[in-house]
Amino acid sequence: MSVALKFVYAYIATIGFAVLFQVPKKTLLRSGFAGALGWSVFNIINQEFNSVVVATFLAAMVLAMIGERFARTEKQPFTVFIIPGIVPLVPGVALYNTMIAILEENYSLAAEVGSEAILIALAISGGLTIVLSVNAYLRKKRMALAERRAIKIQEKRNKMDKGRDLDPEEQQKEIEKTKLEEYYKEQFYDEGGEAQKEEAPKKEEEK
Amino acid sequence: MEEITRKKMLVLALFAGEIMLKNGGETYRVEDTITRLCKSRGFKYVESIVTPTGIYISVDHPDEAGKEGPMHSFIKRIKNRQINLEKVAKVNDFSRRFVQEGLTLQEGMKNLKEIEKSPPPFTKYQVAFFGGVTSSFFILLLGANFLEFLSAFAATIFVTYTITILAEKDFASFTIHLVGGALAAALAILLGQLHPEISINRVIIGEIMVMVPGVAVTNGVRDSIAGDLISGMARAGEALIVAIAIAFGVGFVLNLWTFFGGGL
Repeated sequence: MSVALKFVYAYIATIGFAVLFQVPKKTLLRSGFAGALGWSVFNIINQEFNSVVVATFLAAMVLAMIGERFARTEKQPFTVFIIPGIVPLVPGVALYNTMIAILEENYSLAAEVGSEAILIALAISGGLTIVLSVNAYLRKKRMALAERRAIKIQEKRNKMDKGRDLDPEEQQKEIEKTKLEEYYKEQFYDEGGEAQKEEAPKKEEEK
Repeated sequence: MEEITRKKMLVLALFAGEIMLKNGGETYRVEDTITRLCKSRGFKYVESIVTPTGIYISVDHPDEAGKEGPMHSFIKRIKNRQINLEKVAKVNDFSRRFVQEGLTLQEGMKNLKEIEKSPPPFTKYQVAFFGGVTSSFFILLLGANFLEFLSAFAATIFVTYTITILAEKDFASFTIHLVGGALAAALAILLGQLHPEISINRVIIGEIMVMVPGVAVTNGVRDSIAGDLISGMARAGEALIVAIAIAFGVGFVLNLWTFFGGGL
């Protein structure tokens, strides 16, 4: 079966999973795309290197990356894109084979297939963990930048109208407020990239 | 802030967290939302612990005169959980609006109630149909033939519909998946008798894919990364129990079948 055909099948299957988990209607197609891409990576690596575990690991990484990307562009929680895509990778087949082996009282086969199932599950967690923790680190860094920006905005505001004499406590409060605004900008509006970051303080000045 | 406003604000934050947690939100997201909602309305000290079975919040805030106010704690027990990611997304969006646009408490509460009452984006018939689509296309990926494709499609519609109905009636997750697994195996055996080309194993694999605890697995991983070890372990346990329930249901029926002389 060609890779393209499998991509289409995986796309449809992932959309089905997305419906099962009741994702918002407007994100269905993107969830499907993330899942299909993850499955294609799994499929290709599995064929080339003949290792289910490595293939699952890389697929989970790709899935996490694209999920984070979509989460930022679509302003939706990350889970919406990831969960439907993860399900096809979950070792359902391996678990089923383990169960069959146990039923047939073939315990050595059960241990073999069962450990494969556990390894696949670990590979999914590993792949997700690596991408997510790197992303969490980057976000923290961006947040620190946002905080610094918030303080700068506040200082500029104070310079603009000198008549305003805020006591330090109130000033702190305003900084907190600006920080929150900046936080939400970071979390959900990353598309503009640098350009937006430049614009944001200017808008504040105009006010 | 007045005492009554403070209380209302807390209830609002708790309610937002409850909706998220009940519908499959991750623990860290719930904690984050609660903390941000409270801080945006001037609570100085907010601490929240969220586990899959409950939410605990504690806040402290000095009043206008600078006098220390009383400390408030709220606990909410979460009993039944379902999966509706749209509600998680909606509450996420709500919290952003509440913080940025400064909605009043009444407006906020009204919005949250609307979110809670809003019907899921897909009806149970649609969910059942897509369950069929999903499992049939999934086994196509595993190299199934056309007959298996059709039987998985038909059988999974039944299985998905049954587990949706059972979930609506608030059965325990173990029971739901046990019945689902047993039904899946029974239907696959039945369909397997129709034509020799239909492999029972493959049809069962397709059917049980719709019951696989994907949300529990993914959220468990995320929670563990974020350092919420209790939630992470709880979700991993949930996933394990569901997997055991499915295996138990399928295994029971298959065992009966081979006992009475059928072949796999």
